[in-house]
Order: sequence, then C-alpha cells, then structure tokens
Amino acid sequence: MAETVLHVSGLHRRYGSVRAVDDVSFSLARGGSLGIVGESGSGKTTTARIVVGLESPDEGHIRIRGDERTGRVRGRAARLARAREIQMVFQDPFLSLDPRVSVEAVLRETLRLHFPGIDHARRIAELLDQVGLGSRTRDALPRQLSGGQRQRVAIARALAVEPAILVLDEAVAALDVSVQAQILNLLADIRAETGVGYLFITHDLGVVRCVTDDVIVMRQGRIVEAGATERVLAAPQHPYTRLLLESVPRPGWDPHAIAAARRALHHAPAGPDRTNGQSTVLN
Amino acid sequence: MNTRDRHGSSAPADSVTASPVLDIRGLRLRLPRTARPVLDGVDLTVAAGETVALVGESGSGKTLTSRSVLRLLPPGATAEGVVEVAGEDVLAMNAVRLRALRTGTAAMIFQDPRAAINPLRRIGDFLTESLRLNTGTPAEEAERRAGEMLVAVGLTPAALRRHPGQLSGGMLQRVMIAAALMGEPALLLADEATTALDVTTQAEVVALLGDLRDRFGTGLLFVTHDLGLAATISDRVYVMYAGRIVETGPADVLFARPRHPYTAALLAATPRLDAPRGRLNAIDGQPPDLRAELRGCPFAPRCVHATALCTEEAPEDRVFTDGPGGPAHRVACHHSDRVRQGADHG
Repeated sequence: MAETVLHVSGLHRRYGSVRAVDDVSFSLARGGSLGIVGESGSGKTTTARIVVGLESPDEGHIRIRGDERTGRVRGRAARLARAREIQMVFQDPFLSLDPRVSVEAVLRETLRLHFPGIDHARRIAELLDQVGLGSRTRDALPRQLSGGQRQRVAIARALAVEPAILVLDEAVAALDVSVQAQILNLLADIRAETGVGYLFITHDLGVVRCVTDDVIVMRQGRIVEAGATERVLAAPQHPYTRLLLESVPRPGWDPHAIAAARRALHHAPAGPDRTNGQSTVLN
Repeated sequence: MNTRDRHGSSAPADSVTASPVLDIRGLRLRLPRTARPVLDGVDLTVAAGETVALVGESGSGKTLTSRSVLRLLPPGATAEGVVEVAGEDVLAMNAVRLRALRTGTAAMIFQDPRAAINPLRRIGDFLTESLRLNTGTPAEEAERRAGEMLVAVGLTPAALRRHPGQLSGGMLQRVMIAAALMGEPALLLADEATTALDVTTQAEVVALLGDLRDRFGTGLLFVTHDLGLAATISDRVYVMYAGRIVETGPADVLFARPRHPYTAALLAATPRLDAPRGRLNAIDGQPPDLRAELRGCPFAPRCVHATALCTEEAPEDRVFTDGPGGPAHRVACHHSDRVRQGADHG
C-alpha cells in the first residue's frame, strides 16, 4: 500500500438539527483516486469543503501527509501553505475564473503568489501543454473559451502549485459528453504523470467507475458503503448502493420498481448496514 | 413493468396511421449576427401516446426546436417551415390561437422548477391561475381539479396550501408536471425535465410521466443530453448536431446499431457501468461555431470517416429499414455503411 497523503477520521458537522456530515472517515493513498458518491444532501460536498479548509468540522481530524490540518485556515501564510497541499476544482469554471483575466494571467498570478521573484514563462507553457491548451489560448478571456477549455484552465491553475491532492467537486458534471470524455482522459493522464491524488465528488456512477480506484457511498451524512470501486459497483452490499445503481437508466430499466425501492428505503434508518459484515470502511 | 416493454411495441405501430400531435417539417431558424441557420431543416413528429427523445449536446438546437413548438423564439429570430401541433400551424397562428395552444394543447416542463414558479404564492394559486384566467373556470372548480392533478402525480391535495420553498426539488417537479397537465395537453414537452434531479428521483418522475402518458394518451417529447435515459424511455429518438437531425430511428435499433458516426462516437464517449473500464473514446475538437458558414457535413471536421465528399456536399438522408414494417431509420451521412458500433470508436 502506498503512502497515505490524506487521512480523515471521525468528521462531524451539524447545521442546526441537520447532521450534514456524520462520522465520516477515509484515507487517500499517494497518487490514488477516491470517489465520493451520493445524492443531494448526502454530505459529499460538505465533506470536500471541510477537507480543503473552507469549512471547519465540529469534531474529527484531517491529516495531510501525517500533519494535522483540521479547521479553517487563518492568516496568509497558513492559507498559502494549505493551498500548496490541496487544491479544488469546481463544477462551473465560469464562476471560478475572473472574467477579466486572461488564461496566461490566471496562471501567472497563481505562480507569483506562491513562488514570488522568479520567471514563470516556462512553467506556464508547461502547464498549458499539460492540460492540452494550445498556445493560441494564452491570451483568451474566459468568455472566449468553451466550457471544456475553461475547465482545463481551472485544472491548470490547480496544478500550478503541484499539490498533493486535487479535490474535484462535480468537475465534469456540466460538460457535454464528448468534452467530458476529453477531460476525464486528461485527468487520468495527469494523475499518472504527476502522482497527484484525487478526491472525486460526483453523483455519476459511470464517471466514478471511470476515474477512481476506491469509492465511498454517502447518504444523509453517513458513509453507507466503501471499498474498491470495481467491487462496490459490481457487487454492492448496501441497499442504498444497489438503489443508486439500479436508478441509472439502461436497458431493462424499471422506474416503477426503483420508485418503490426508494420509498421502502426512505422509511428505513440511514447509516451503515451494521448487519452486513462485508461493508467495509476504508482506513 | 418496463416502460418500453409495455408501450414501445404498440405505440409506434399505431402512429403510422394516426395523425401526429406534433409535426415539424423543414424548420429553419435564423438568428441575428450568425452565419448559418441555428436550426437547419428540422423534421420531427410525435404521435399521440408516443414518447420521442430529442438528443444532442449544448448548442445542437434541441432546446430551440422544443421551444419553437410553443413559438417561444429568441429575439430577432426568423423561422421558416411548418410546426403543426394537433394539425394547426404554430408559426402562422394569431395571438388568440397561440394563447390557446400554450395554455391547452401543448405544455412544457423545464429543467429547473424553482425558476419557473413564484416562490411567494401558494402551489394552489400557481396551478389554478391559468385555468381561471383563460377558461373562466370558477376558483372552486379549478382548485378541485388541481387537487386531482396533484394526486395523479403522487402528491396530496394538502400541497395546494404549501409554498414552493416548503417542497423538495422532486416534489416541485411533480407540481410542474401537474401544472402542465391542468390544460389537458395533447403534447407534453419535457426539456431536460429530470436533469437537475437525483437519479432515484429521476426514476420516479419518469415512471410518473409514463403512467400519465398512458392514462391521457399524451404525446411526449423528451429533450435530453442523456443518451442512456433516451434509450431507456423512448419509442423513437432524434439525434441533433449543429442544428440538423443527423439520425433518427427506433430507440433500441439506434442505440444498438447507430449508423451516424456522431451517434456512434457519443455512445463511445459516455462513461458507462457496463463497458470496459479505462480510457474513454473522446471526440476530438468542438462543434462548429455559429459565426462560421457550414459547407458539407457539420460533423466532418471531427469525423473519423470523413472524406473530401463530406466537406464539399451536405449529405442527404438515407433510409434504412431495420425490420419488416418497422419505423424508418434515417441517417444523414455519406458513409453510414462504414459505421460499426465498437469498430471505429470503441
């Protein structure tokens, strides 16, 4: 087993009476790829935001390369240090890119912030090349780029500081199928080349199967199932995982049976299937 | 109890003789400051009780096509061709007939229910407004009917007194479907109606739409980017690219044996649960820009089968019959005989 870059244990986060994140633990190996799947309200995005330090947990610990990283980061130096370890790519790059800043300037700004006083021309060219953007897009503004190109810029910016972990929150959800495939292939290449680890938040089981080694399934703030992606998708143990899989439209799909199963599960308590010994939690 | 099994076999056979509830012929739509039509000769039909999927990526023109059925055209747009709903040409209608169409004959369900409903008014007001204003139905009668429709979509009449903020996304989309059914439409247009929903909720809404179609004999046009969903729920499918229908046919045939390189490439690019893991077969390049004129086939620059002919000459439709008496499978490609599922892109 490779070295662990991210270790999360016993995370809890409440909003009023809602347990958004309820005893969540997992770990990510160096260069590994861990998927977090779940529906809206499952706590997957809150978990991601806690991991990158945008939210703080009520309880629990986050360790990056063995160092304690729990809680909101305060102060410029601490923020920059955290940013060099872990970066996030969001669903809509149009909202996360400044509309007035060109592609090159976006990357230059990030590099200058983290590595002041040196020339970054070569590194910028390298990053553009790495995400498959031609030199013609250097001077383009976000609105002059397609959705796929904008997401490539967001990925290049995240990679600029050579983070150990990239958190991708529904990063391909808004892209068309043909472009989504390009970005998923790109992410696979980048992981193989750089050894960056992915925490891949998504609702799409096809995408999870494509880009992750391990997966955790969340429902109502809790992990209901965890394990190797291939095993969890091929032989799901928890009824909720089975329901999620059966809900994906494909030949023989039966929406009435899914609707009935969903109602049945809705009345059952949430949480790990304690009676089933085969459900494992990654540690 | 699969939707396709139950209805797929009977509906298309009937549709050959029955006059369609929606008949689009040669629809061409131009927008200001564009070099080519955004819709370029679209032909599409939906029969009563039939589910038809219109599939395409962003910018393909699928949403413009469905919106032109209600003559909801962008500012400055000019339309040619015929769009008939229940035998009446929508593009030639006067304001009175158009209002009757939008409040009765045809209804649309949008992607985001929260954007289509006033958050400050009760669900009951929202559901009955159109009926009271347009048909003069007394408030009490309209409210009773709204209650019935809520039951039909799996909610209770108690929801009439709720506000949109008190309902979940899935429940609100049911309210939108109930609202669409209030005018007893012959045609229901669902534009990415389940895209914003969780997968398990999507299944419920799809099951509901199938039931309602059976009960009321409504024709259903399902606009979606989701190929898996289109394959599963529809009788027939239209695939759009750059404002044109590039392929159309029965859903099972079209997805099992696509004959247009774009359809084949899209299927190969979709991450699936039942395909081998590993790299996806991405389609290189981008769809053509609206500011550039198009000669030949719009997909040619991205197509693995393209030849000189493809960049010179726009392909005419070729018709294949995949089974005796089956609905036609039409493909706009010069080289459709070269397309083999799995051979070129997978």
